Amino acid sequence: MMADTRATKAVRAAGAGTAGEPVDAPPAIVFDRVGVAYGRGKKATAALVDFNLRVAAGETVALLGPSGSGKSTALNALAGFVRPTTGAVRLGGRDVTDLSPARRGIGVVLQSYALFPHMRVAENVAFGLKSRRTPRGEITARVDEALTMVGMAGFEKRLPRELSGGQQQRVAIARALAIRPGVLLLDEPLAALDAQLRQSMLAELQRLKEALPDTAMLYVTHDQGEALALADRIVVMNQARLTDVGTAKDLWSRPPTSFTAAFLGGANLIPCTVGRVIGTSALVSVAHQTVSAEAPQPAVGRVDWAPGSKALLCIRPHVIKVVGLGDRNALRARVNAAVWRGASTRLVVSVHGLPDQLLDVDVPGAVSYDLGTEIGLRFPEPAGVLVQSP
Amino acid sequence: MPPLVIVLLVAVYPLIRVCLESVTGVGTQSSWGSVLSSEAFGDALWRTVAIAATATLGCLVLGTFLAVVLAFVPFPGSRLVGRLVDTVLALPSFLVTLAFTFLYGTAGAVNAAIAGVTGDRAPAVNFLYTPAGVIAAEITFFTPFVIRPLMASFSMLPRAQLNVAASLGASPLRVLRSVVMPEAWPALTAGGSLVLLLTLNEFGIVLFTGAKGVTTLPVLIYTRGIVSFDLPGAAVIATVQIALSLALYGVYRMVFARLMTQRGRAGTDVAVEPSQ
Repeated sequence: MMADTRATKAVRAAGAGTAGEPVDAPPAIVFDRVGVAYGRGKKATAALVDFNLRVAAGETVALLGPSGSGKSTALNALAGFVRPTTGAVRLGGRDVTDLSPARRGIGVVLQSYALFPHMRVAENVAFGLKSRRTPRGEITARVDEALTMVGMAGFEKRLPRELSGGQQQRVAIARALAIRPGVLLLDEPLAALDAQLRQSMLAELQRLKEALPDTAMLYVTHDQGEALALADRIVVMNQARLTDVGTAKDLWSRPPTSFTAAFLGGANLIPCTVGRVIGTSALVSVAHQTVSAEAPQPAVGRVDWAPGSKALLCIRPHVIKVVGLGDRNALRARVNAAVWRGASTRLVVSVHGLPDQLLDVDVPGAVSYDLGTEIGLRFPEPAGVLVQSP
Repeated sequence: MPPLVIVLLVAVYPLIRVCLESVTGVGTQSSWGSVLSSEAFGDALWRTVAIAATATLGCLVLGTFLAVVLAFVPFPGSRLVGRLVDTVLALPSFLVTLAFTFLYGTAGAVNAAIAGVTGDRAPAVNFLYTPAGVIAAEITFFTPFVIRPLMASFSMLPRAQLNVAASLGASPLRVLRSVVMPEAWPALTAGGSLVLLLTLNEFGIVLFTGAKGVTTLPVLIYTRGIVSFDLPGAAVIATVQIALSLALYGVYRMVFARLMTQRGRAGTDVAVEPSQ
């Protein structure tokens, strides 16, 4: 419940517009307390609950969350593929809640590409233009323009099955862009691609974003890397609700909730007791030691970090240092697992004084430890950020 | 090996005997030349093809309409209608004709109702004993053979394609015409081929209707073989019928194989639940 309130307030704060946008211009996208439920009566399942969001023209917002968190449902409600059971959807100030998808003027790119298999690339891209009765002479130019934009010029006569996954996704993007939409929806567009292709397409999307400064983009993903790379703001969703919203940097460095802290970057969340608090700094007691931590306040509202209260200390795995056991203030820990991950090695350790708590620690390079090895850990200064216990 | 022998013995050998009988029949006044050049054969062949083609066309139009409605237009009881379509497939064809007799016959319910309103005892609806009656009965009975493959094809169509088409500004009719039907074309062709094959060989409906002057190839075979005891003559016509059927069956298999290949390529997020 608190997450909703916090999120709604944050959205209101962020909804005033972005740089360069007139203050009185209506947001490109508005979700106004949108709810979606499937089924009726006792069998009804809430897929989206009380969802509020404003996206300015030219802004890219990522909806990030695990499967079933409601992010695709939000996108479907915006596109008109599902009818909200409550609330309203507005595009450029116009209420489109009851409008058919065909009359919303939104470009949609889906994970499965959804290219029309019997149409050639040029026909796929021209489909929207023909549906909108664009003059024939203009269609050719717009198709060429869209295909050039995604680097697919020269593939006009190919059938979708003659293209690779990445090429098909480029055509799907070109098809969505050809109608020059004010709003572009991307639902897990890179999920079906292999890791290497995903990175290259991510760079393409970043370039595309720069090339479309007036287009609002809503990007649904469960991959935090994509969200961090592309989004001006990230909306974190969980259990059909908006949990947190903010810039990627803010959510990463000062996650408002434990869910966001864990989902965005997989932070360690260590139970601690708040001691002295001065401004936005605090001393907290963790594993029989006292360490300093940030005690942030949200943009709207206030969190009371009262001395003696329980909280969670959010520490990213890569900031924890492995030191010798004799090191001053070192926390004593035992290695439970060590997994080499290329650029770093992920250690899973249990810390003395923190029963039932495993910490993730990232050590640069390839490091090998015998299981059960005793090591020392040192937190940075400040150790991390305080997050309210759920 | 034994299964092959059984199939050859039970299914293929009788057909071969029919073909052989057409050229080696003893004591016959018929020959290939005389049968094929006879007016009765020409009329029957023309009538058979005309009825089969018209009925198939009717099945394609009605079947496509019903399949689209059942697949894409949600309405209460659509599942029940789907089940009823399956039920028709399980019934013998002559039952449709019998039902038509009760409904549209000269003493049927429709004529009785019209007579009750107008007072005129002469049957107002009197098409059942004409080629139109046979065609109507065949359309009624064979339309499910078009609906089923079409529904299967629609169930393989990714819902994402329909959503994207709609988001690009396409009206439902344009989505149907430009996205759905091109994908369903192999299913439509397969269903149409099957119906053409079945209507070409249909015997029960034509015989049960008793339509005056409606003699198709199967009826002519029956008349020659059973009524006139001209077995070699019947064998000649039967051989023509077998050749027609096998040719059509070949086309049907070819189209069906293409449909199956498409089905293998289809995604999982489908527009219509397969259970419908």
